[in-house]
Amino acid sequence: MQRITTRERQDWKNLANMLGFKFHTIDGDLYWDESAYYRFTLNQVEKDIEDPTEEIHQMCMDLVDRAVSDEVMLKRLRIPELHWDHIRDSWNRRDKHLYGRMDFSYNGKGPAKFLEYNADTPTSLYESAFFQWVWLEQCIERGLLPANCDQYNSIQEHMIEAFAQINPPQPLYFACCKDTDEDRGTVQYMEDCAVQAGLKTKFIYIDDIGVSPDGQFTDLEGYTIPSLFKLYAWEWLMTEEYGSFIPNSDTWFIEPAWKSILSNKSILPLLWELHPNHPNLLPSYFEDEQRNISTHSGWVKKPIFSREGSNISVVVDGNVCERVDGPYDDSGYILQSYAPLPKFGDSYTVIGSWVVADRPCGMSVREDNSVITKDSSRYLPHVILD
Amino acid sequence: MKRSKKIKLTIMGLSPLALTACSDKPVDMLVYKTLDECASDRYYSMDQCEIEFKKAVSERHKTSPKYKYLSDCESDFGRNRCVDRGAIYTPIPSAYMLPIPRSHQREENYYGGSGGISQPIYTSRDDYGHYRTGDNQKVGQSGQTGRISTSTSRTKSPSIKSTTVSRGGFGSQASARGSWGSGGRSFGG
Repeated sequence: MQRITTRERQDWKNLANMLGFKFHTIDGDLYWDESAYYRFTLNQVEKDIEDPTEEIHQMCMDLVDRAVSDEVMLKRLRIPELHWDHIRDSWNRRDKHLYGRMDFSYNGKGPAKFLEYNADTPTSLYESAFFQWVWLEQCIERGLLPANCDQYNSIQEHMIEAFAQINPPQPLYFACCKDTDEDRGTVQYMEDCAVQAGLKTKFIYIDDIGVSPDGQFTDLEGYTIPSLFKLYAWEWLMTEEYGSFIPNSDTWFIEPAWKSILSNKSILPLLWELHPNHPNLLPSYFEDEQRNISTHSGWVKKPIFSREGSNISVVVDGNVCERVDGPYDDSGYILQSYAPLPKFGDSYTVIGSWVVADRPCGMSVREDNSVITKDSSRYLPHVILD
Repeated sequence: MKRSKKIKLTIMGLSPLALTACSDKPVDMLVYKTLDECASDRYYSMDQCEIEFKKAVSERHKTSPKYKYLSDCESDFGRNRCVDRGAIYTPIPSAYMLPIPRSHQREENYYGGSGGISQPIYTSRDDYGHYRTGDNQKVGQSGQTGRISTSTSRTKSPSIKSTTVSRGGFGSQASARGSWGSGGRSFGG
């Protein structure tokens, strides 16, 4: 695993704009950064990232299977009781899921350490699945990279296949929040994949969803929503005003309700309980088990529900050495042993490993100036070259 | 190779690939106003017609447009064209649309997509000239009987016109958290 500085494609911003990548620069800060790329060996990708991703995903599915019928676990996961039944139903029906991204701390050697699983609303999909792929093809074509370079990235073809397999009642609505180019771009890209899978699609903002007299979700013209992909966290949907309509609604949700179990940081202590000393897992505990962490010199305090690195603190030898404030301080915390991100130059690097349906199929690399990866992080492409 | 061999975009951006893929396949369906009309055509026997009509009626309970107020329903479908189904008003179907039986699909060297479901169709006040499905898709001229040509997307179980009694019950946490500091360029993560 190396970080290699390189020449940018001179016309990449123009190309990004042409290809609907509006968030390559956010509030004046570069987000897509091709002034460098990461190089991995095939063995690193397959043995250290792909295999553990598959294994941890299976461990997570096993955890869901236990949790849906275990009230103690559902409570520890802070899932509101109103939703227990329909979460269990969605699991027992085996409602198909679409995608997720695991984050790993990995420096090219030794076991990659699993940091968390964004299995409900992952972003950075478009840049991973599409724009990164275009970058590699063009760099090879222009002689900037050798022709035998490859990339761990068949995300798009698996997304299309997964949409075709799910084949929900249609039209399938795609929804996200207003005023965020990044989320809008991500769902537009997903809608594109769904159209390529032959599905009929529509778009609606989360805030514009309505409810009919018989408790069905409706669009702006009053049509019921047969199926909904929502780039909006389950824990929010369940606790907001319309949350009480979800259990009886006919809308088919993607991700399915059982994914609310996996997008939750409580899975980290639960996985550690079930698989202690697994080489890819970090010792993790609930906040009230704090006594267990004294033997670990550094640990990270993460909110059970949070986004983009908010409200995370890193404590080493009793001192808070890094902290990000934020709006996610209302859900309780878990503690995870500290596995520092590797530093390349001035940047700390985190690996994202993509799972589509149940299949690991791609990778992304993000850099931040601090050990906590935040929404100010930059996206860098990668290649596989032995 | 660990990457996709070929990928493209269809609806996103201004790329030269931005042609909308058309997944719709043509399909023929049958339209009848009454059981007699159905039975006198060559596709279904009287018994089969009854079975298909029953399926369409049960589909109607799920997929007919629904209104909270009679006046809203009548303003879309016309006077005396709506019925009370217990706190909800729904329009009276103008006819029923049935799939072509499989036996005939074979005999006739039929190339259409596999047929849709039996369902009621309606005529609305703003367009008496056409039949429409429960989700307001045109499926042929009103008054037509027997075989019509349409497309598969119009013959599946439809999304339904409904009265919306409230809006905006989702999204509050994003807006609350989005206003925190400068944060929140994404609510995914």
